[in-house]
Amino acid sequence: MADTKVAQMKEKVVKEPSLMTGAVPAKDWWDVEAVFKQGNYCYPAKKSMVEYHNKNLPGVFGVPRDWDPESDNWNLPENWQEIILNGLKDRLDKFRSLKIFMDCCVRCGACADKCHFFLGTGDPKNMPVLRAELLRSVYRNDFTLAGKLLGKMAGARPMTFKVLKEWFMYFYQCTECRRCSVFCPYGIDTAEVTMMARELLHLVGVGTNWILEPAANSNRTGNHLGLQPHTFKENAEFLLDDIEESTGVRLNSLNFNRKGAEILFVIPSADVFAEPGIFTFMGYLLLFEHIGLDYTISTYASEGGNFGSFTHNSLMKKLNGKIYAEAKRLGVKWILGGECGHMWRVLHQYMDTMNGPADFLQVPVSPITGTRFDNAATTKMIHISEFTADLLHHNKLKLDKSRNDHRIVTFHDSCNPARGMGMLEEPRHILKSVCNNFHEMPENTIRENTFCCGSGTGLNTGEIMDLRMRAGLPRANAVRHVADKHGVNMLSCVCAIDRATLLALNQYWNPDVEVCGVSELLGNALIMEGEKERETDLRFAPLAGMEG
Amino acid sequence: MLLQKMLIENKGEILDAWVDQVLATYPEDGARIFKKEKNQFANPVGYAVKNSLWQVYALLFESETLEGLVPALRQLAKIRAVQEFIPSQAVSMAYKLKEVVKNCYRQEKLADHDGWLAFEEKADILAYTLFDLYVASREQLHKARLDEYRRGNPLLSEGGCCPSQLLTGNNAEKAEALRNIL
Repeated sequence: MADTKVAQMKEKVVKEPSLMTGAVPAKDWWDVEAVFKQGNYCYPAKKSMVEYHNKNLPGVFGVPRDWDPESDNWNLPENWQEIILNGLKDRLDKFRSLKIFMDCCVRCGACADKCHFFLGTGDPKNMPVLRAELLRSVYRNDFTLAGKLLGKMAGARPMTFKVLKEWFMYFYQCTECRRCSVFCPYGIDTAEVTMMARELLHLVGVGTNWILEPAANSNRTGNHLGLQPHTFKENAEFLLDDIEESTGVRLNSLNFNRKGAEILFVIPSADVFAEPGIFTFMGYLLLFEHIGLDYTISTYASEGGNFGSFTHNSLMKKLNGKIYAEAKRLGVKWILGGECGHMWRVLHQYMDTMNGPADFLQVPVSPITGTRFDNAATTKMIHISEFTADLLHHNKLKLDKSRNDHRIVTFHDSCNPARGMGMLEEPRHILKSVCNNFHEMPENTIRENTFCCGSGTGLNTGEIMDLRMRAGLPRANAVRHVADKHGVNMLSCVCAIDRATLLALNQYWNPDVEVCGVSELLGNALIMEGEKERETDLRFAPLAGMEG
Repeated sequence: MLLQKMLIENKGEILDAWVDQVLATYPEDGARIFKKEKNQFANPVGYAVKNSLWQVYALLFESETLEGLVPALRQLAKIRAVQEFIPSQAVSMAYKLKEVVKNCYRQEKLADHDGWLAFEEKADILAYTLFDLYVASREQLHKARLDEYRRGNPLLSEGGCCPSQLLTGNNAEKAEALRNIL
């Protein structure tokens, strides 16, 4: 006879809400409550951060206060539902795309198994269709006739605290990578649904510190770390010593805030202070010296990455505005951008509308090859990989590919450059030109189908490391495949968040695979005038044959 | 019939049931997709469960040696260690196997006491190997988290992105906690 206690305990283990998310499999999705526990949510924004943003953008970030996601009282304003519904109404009126995305989904399920968060968790609310349904259900309830008349039968539900908790849980389990959109027959951009939901959450003061503090820093000092101009400059100059040590060449071209330069170069700020981004930065500098480019770097627009884009379009616009403002002040002809991820979604898709027209700039023309980049005719800003690939296409670079022979390389298509701006071939052209050992990951994990690192859109914070690891599983799984099959030991990418977060991801899933930017490998291969015989690469790892 | 013989003859059925039971630890809608999709890159969890359990079964009941048990389980243990399970759920695969085999044993009306003891011993080896791998995975996870802190991104930020500010307690307690972390 079965032991009753044992049977009960078994039942308890299987059917009680999971400690991590509270997911209970046996109920309908909207009867399952989101339960916040240490490890499954990002820490809320500090009061001081909300106060700071409210000075610049009143009302956008709610009432500054302390609150705890694990509590049942988030100290919300009394009329928080009204604020959200009014906010939703404003956005439905303003953004036609949102209205279409709310109406046109037929729940075909094509997106259901395409999200890395779903694939890593199995949680149905991470199916893009269902995540969007969290917002759609409220939209139906208050903005559609069917919803008003039929309520739950029409998939409608009122905006309650339970719904708000779901929003905070699941719209922060979306990295706005847009993989699901590739498979949607209607082209619904789930990233924009998440953007809108996050805006609404911010209106009632529900935001995370890892996003609002870097955004505050970007506003105040120009970069997300809050590095002041002299520190930013010193950090960058410090890297010249490292370049000299590994190549024997002292670069003279690095300069800041120089009026009259031909090109303004904007990077993700992590490239001047954090490994492995600094090696990517060294690659940029070697390239510019190699071709004698007339460029300058701004300490005012010293952050390409736009943390505002994870919060509210007005903050995104404000932070992005620095780039054109600085280009105008310095009198450059056009703008070159470094290896960054969501920076390029903002630049490519929103900058022209938000802060353009940049009629004081010229359509980018490579001073070395004469190529005119008409793809950037409106924004006047091109990607370093586009620029480099063009140089390689015209044989303008002297290279020694063998200097990357100690690396067996694969390429992670960073979501925003790949899906947000369609840049698929250029980085590959560079990699094949500078490396002898390059292997692609499986087809359904690269190019348009690339899997996110799992930590974008301000989710690259330590308190949710478990969540990041399961969200990054599909990417790590493909890396593991090429590591096993081809001995891949270097995962290259063109995104600063990737360079930061793929390190932790690989440390857990693929400890033998390092992470680098594409320009770092280019820097290794470039033959510089007056260089010494290279024994190491830019990160001081011995070259093939120099190990002894 | 002896249990060992049944384990070989009914291998397919037992494994299907075992895989189903392990996948049933995921939410129903998730489990359905994990079960259906065959491509290992489109379905890393479902593939790892199936692949791992098949390999483990062969090692436990069809091989002379258990060498290879750890590599066969590592990816699955790593996956379960970062998913939304309490620890006993995360490593429940050995107990699921016992349940499945117990049902078969009853259905076939076996009376192989020695065979059951031998089976149970193997299931126990599976259980504590999974436990070891689970703990190792959690340690690796925490190490990844600490190394990320050590690389310093949060500490460099002005205005207190320092993790200590996010810890509970007074400043002395926070400082102590941070010393332990870093």
